Amino acid sequence: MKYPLIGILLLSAFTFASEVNVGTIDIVNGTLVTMDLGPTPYGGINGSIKIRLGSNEWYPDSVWLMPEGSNIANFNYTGRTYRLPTSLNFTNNCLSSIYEQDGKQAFKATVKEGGKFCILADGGKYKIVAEY
Amino acid sequence: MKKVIAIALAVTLLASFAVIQLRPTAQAVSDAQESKRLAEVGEADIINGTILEMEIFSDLGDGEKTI
Repeated sequence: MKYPLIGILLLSAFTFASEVNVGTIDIVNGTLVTMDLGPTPYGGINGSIKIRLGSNEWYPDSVWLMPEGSNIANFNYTGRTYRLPTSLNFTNNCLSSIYEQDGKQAFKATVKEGGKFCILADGGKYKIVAEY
Repeated sequence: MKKVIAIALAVTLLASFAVIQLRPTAQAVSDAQESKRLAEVGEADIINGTILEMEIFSDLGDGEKTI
């Protein structure tokens, strides 16, 4: 009885797809519009992170991109994420959680083995904050 | 019989007192376990449609704080 349930859960995870809004269009009957879709409405950072204190070094648990002058404690998770296709081979598919506070957004990604991380965010200037 | 009731009451009162005394300590331990530390390690200018390659190696110094 347990196994069909596990199968359904796994299937749900595999069939999950990410979506991104890449533009708007006004369709008029009897016309055909040709358009080249532009870049994604977000960018990101791919790399690694390591923190040092004296002779000690470690990897943080997660990385945040936060607007200047904001505090992590005030942000609430929106339930939305950004992610890239698995075929691109970015760390953790660049899965990034979107947080919000008073119209400002912050983004959070998990740091993986060896301090590798990939984070996506809407275009703009951010401070990079490590959480450990 | 009265003696038994009196002892039971005394034990109950003592137990309540102990719980009240212990609760803040337990809460403090829980908060300490849940709190994480933050360190500002840099700045980034994210441009839509691009991925920056970045290696961050941060010397903590005084840039840490507890939330």
